[in-house]
Amino acid sequence: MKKILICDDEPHIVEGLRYLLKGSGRIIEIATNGQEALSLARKDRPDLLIIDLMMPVLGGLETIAMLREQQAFKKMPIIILTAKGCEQDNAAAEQLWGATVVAKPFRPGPLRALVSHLLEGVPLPATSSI
Amino acid sequence: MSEYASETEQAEAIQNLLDKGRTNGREDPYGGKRRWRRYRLGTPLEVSFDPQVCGGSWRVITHNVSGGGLGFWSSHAFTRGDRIFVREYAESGSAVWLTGQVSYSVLGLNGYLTGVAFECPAAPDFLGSSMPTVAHRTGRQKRVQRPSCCLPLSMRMYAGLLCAGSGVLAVGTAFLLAGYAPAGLGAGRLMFLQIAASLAVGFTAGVLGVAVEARAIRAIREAIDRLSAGTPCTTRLPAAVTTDVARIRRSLLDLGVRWAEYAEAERSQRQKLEEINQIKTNVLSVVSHDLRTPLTSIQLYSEMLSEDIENLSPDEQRAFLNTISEECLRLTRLVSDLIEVQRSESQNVEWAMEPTDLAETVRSVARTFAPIASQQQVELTVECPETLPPVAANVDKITQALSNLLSNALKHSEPDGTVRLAVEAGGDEVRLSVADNGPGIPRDKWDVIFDRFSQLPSANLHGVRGVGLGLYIVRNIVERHGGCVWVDSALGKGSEFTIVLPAGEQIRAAALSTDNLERAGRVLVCDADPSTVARLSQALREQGFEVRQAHSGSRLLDHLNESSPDVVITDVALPDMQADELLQRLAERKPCPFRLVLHSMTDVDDELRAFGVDVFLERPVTRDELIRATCVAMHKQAGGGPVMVLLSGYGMDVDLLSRCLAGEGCMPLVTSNVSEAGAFCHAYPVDGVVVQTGPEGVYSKVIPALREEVGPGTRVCALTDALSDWECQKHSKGDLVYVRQVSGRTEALAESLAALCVQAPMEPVT
Repeated sequence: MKKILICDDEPHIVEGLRYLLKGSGRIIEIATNGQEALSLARKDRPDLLIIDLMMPVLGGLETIAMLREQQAFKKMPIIILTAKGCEQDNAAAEQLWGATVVAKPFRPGPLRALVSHLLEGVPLPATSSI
Repeated sequence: MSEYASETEQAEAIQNLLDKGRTNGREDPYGGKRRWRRYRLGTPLEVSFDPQVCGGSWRVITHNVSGGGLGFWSSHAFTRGDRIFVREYAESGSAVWLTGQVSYSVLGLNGYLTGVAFECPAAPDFLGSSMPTVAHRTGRQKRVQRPSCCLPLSMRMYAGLLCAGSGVLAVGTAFLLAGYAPAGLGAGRLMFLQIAASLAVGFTAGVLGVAVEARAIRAIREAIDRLSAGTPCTTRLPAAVTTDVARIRRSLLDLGVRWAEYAEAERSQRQKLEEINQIKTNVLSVVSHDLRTPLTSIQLYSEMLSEDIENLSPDEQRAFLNTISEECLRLTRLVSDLIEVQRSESQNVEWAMEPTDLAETVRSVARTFAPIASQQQVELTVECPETLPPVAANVDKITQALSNLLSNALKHSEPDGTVRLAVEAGGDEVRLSVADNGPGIPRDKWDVIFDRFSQLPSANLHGVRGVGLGLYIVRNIVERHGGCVWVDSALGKGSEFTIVLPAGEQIRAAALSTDNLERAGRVLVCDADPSTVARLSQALREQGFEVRQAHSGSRLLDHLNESSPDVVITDVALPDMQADELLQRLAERKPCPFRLVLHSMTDVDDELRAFGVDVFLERPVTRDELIRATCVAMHKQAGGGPVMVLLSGYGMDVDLLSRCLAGEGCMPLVTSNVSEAGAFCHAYPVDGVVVQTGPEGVYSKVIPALREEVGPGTRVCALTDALSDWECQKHSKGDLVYVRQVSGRTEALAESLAALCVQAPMEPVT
């Protein structure tokens, strides 16, 4: 079983992602802010984290930084969903944390393909643009 | 005295003089220790030696030098370090030239130079008056360095004085010559001599006049050069003799003032543009974020629908479509809010304001929201009297403000919560409040939430998505109605938003055009009580000040870092910080803001004073008091001239004098009441009090009463037309200065008053 942790404070987006990514052999967990994501991650050791950047209580970048400090999460694939549209931040996040940045609004098909690639090693289609 | 025969003889003469100086010092009844001696006008100067003061060097100390050795150039104020030569009386028939560096010079009444102290080396250059060869040889007969600043009034006086002096001399010479003339010398010859004497007088006067004028013109030319080089004229221009030059001088001064104003306006314009640019960047990033979020949902759900429609149950399909339409509504709200902000910010659009009974408006808003509330299972209560005093309001706008508050309250209410809309009339205002029992807002955000696009989206405050413009729109609407809005909240218990609008007599037409006054300056207002903060801010914003708010010490310090305000108005009883810590942190700021402290104590603690509070404002603060104090603070903070209290009365033309003083860079505070003048002196950093003594002159009863009120240490300038300059000087003592007032010369009067109030108090004279 592969565990996906989705962390976003927008209920519509979270529910949409849950529907989009559900499948056999996957467990999807939901957190609505960074704090919740941290405690869920420590408890359940997810295989993939999909996280928004602008959230109450604890933002996405802070959460990622705190996770990456721990040995168990050094290699965990992370997808950052951001509506900020700030290129520099995105580049920094990709280089520093090895995360994949997906700008909102995104297309569901390519995101599903990316998740399959990261979780199950399915090769990405040649023309995948999110 | 004839020329010295040899070097030895000259050395002896020098030794004699040195001894004489020492003797003078020893014989001094004050033991040679006093620093000042007073000489009568015209007394030849003496040389005294005071090793304790001078540290082994010579020091010439003179007073009333106008008739003495310093002669004509004594009308200059010397600055420290100026090198001067003084011709001194030594013994009969001889004179001594002393050269040295000025250590300080003292300005007396009306800007006369009354004393110069200068130090010369232990062995001064003795150049006997009969030894011009020595002087030439050493090349030191150049008289004096051009002073770096000049005193305008005195120049004219001195020119006149010297002209008169030369005239007497010339007439005397004429008679002398006449006396020696042979008996046969006819009346014609005598007349010729008289004519010659008067010509001499005229010539001397002319030469002196030209000299003074040349100086004035040179100063004017230099000032113009400075102006064209882009630096404002900071030194004062000497007065001119002829009307034309005087006019040019006046115009140049005006030009300088205007130049400074333009430069300031340009600077603040540029700053504003930069701020607008920054705001634009923030707006773009927030707007793009707030646009992208609903778009994400719309795209996600619509694509999943189209790709996967055969696998979706009808319920799921309906849910997806509902989500899409909800997110579309959210986008619509954002766009209409943006348009509303744009509309409410454009000051050109006049709002139709009519006297309105808001009771009906409130009830109609409540009716609109009742179904939404019941759908959310939130109890909406309305408390509203039958009628309210009329308020000058635009009903549509007030409806919108209330709607924004209500929809916010509902958004943040859990099912089974309550939202209370209450209206009450009190005094000369109408208060509308909307309270919820939602999660509450932390104290540090009480100011931010009213900002346009506070950088944090509102979700960061409550976890509920909003656009973040609603409260900004509310604030804008309320302020254009001349009112204010604030929030009071306790975490976990709920928030209460209150709008106060002026009602009844208070309706001010001026409230519509709050941007008439454009005062430069940022004020930071901090108090634990949000209504105080809102009311003070509103009064200050109406005056054109840029106001930031804080409700806690930590927020205040944040603001200090973000915006470096010029003036901070704060209470010291804040929930999160001790008074001493707060004041300490304020005092450490560079540049240190001007600190005004609100207090409700009857007597202010000395401890607080020790922390460098500039002004205390006792609660309750009236609008006038607040604005006066803030203006004084801004003036001081901007490095303005002296702050002066004008006590009107005895036909003082307060308006004219105020204008002229303001033209000299002073800040006049006008009152007609002696005790209020005293209160001003205790409350503000006042540099001087100007009072009209009227015909009673020194016997005026207002002077002792005023001095009693203002207390010691405050300079009192008593204007009088009953005393001559000399009498004025005679009666002036310590902090009390009499100033002769000449009708029609208010400008010059203001100039000398301004100069008087920046001087240190006069040194005690023995």
